[in-house]
Amino acid sequence: MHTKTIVGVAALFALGILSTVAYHNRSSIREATPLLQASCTHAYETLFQENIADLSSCITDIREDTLTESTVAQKQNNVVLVFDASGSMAGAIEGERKIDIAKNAVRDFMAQLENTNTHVSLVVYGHYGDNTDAKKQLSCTGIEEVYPLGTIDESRVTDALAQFSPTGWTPIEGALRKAYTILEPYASDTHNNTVLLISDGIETCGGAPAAFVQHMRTTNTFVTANVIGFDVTEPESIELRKIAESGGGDYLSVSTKAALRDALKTYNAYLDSFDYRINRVSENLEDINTATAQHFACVQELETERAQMMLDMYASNAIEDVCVATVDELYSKEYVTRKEMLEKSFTHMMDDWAENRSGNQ
Amino acid sequence: MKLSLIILTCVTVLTAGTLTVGAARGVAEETPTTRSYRDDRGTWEETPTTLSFTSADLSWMITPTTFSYETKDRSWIETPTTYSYEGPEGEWMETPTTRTFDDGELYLDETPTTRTFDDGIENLIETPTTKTYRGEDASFEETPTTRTYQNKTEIWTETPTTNTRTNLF
Repeated sequence: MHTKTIVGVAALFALGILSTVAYHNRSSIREATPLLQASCTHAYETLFQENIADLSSCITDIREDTLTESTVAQKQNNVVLVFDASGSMAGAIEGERKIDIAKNAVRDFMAQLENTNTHVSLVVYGHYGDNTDAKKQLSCTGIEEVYPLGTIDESRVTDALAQFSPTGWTPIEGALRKAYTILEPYASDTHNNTVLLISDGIETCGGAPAAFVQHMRTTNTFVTANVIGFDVTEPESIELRKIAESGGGDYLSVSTKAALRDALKTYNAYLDSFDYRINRVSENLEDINTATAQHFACVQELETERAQMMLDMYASNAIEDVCVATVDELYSKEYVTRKEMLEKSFTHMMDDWAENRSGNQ
Repeated sequence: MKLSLIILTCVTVLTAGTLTVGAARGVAEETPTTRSYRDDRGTWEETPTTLSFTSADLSWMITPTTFSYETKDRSWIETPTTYSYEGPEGEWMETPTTRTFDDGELYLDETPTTRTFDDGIENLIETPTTKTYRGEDASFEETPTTRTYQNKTEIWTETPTTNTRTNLF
């Protein structure tokens, strides 16, 4: 019993001496021997490997992966103008033939789209045959693309408009089918596809245009149909409005030369309208949200790493007391370097985004 | 024998209870379920469900479902369904059904049924039944039964049965 008591007291005494030595060594780390220094460095490396956060993807990829050019901005506008050259367009308003008023308005409208992101096609109907029953078949099937879908060339537009005169029937559904065939190769994820029908009357060839435009919005081409009723009666206006409503577009009824020009201007403004711009802003916002989330996921990883290092070092005594100061110093340098890299990446990302945003507005 | 038992008891108590160490730079504490350490850089704490850090310049907290991070000029809150950021670049938030942005110059708010856009020059408010636009050169209002377009010289009003145009001069 006596021997065991002596052994116990000796053990406590030894423990006290070891603690004192350890405390002394911790406070005088700068005087540590090279061997101790190497041992502490090894201890740091081991602990760091246990807790290290992989930040490689965060630092290099955030900007390139998430802040891409706007896909909405890259969408191309395709517009097929469906032009009424039926016999009634030979009638006059304010002393001028409706066909000439419409042609001039369309020429101006197309000229405004020169050097823009909009490609235009011009489809004409009603210019074959005449308005007799005998020529109805010829007229109703005489639908023609006089200006192929593409960029605007004013002289070619003038030539195209000079090719036809108003003579026959009004095959609106047939003309819309033709327009749809032209737009069909262009998927809606990369193109905004639109038809603009300008007509002074309703379908006279037995078609059902309102039903057909609904179909145009059920396919991958997703075509929107807008309609301008030019000098039409109230019942005709109601019919034409149904086409626009079924086609997800707008309807305007105009009865003067000035009104037709304004309607086309309004429509032209619509092409560069808010939907387009808001979608771009919204897409940019989605980009920066994703990128910010990615950045903060990395921040979370890094801060977790630091917390684990600190708690392992100090609260769990994973490091020998004599090495704690060295490990802390080595890790603190590593942490600062990694944090600075993350912050630099975040700053660049924000700068890119601001530039992208201002460029898109 | 008695002394051995005393030492054993002391060791057991120290292991099972709270161990406080006067570490070189600060104070550490460990229990079977929590760890913490604080020094002049801040305080780290770990419990079974949270990990956190607090200092004068930065605080953050990680729980099984959230991550919040706050510095003097930036904050980020993330849940399984929401991101929210506030910083010198602006404020933005995203949930499964909404997206908002505000940097003092541009405001955007989108939900499945409404959209508000305002950049100080142009303003759009869109709901399932109305669309109101105010711009520098023109304004536009649409309801299920009327549509009004106004530019600097004219107002057009359309209803299902009427179409009027008024020169403002």
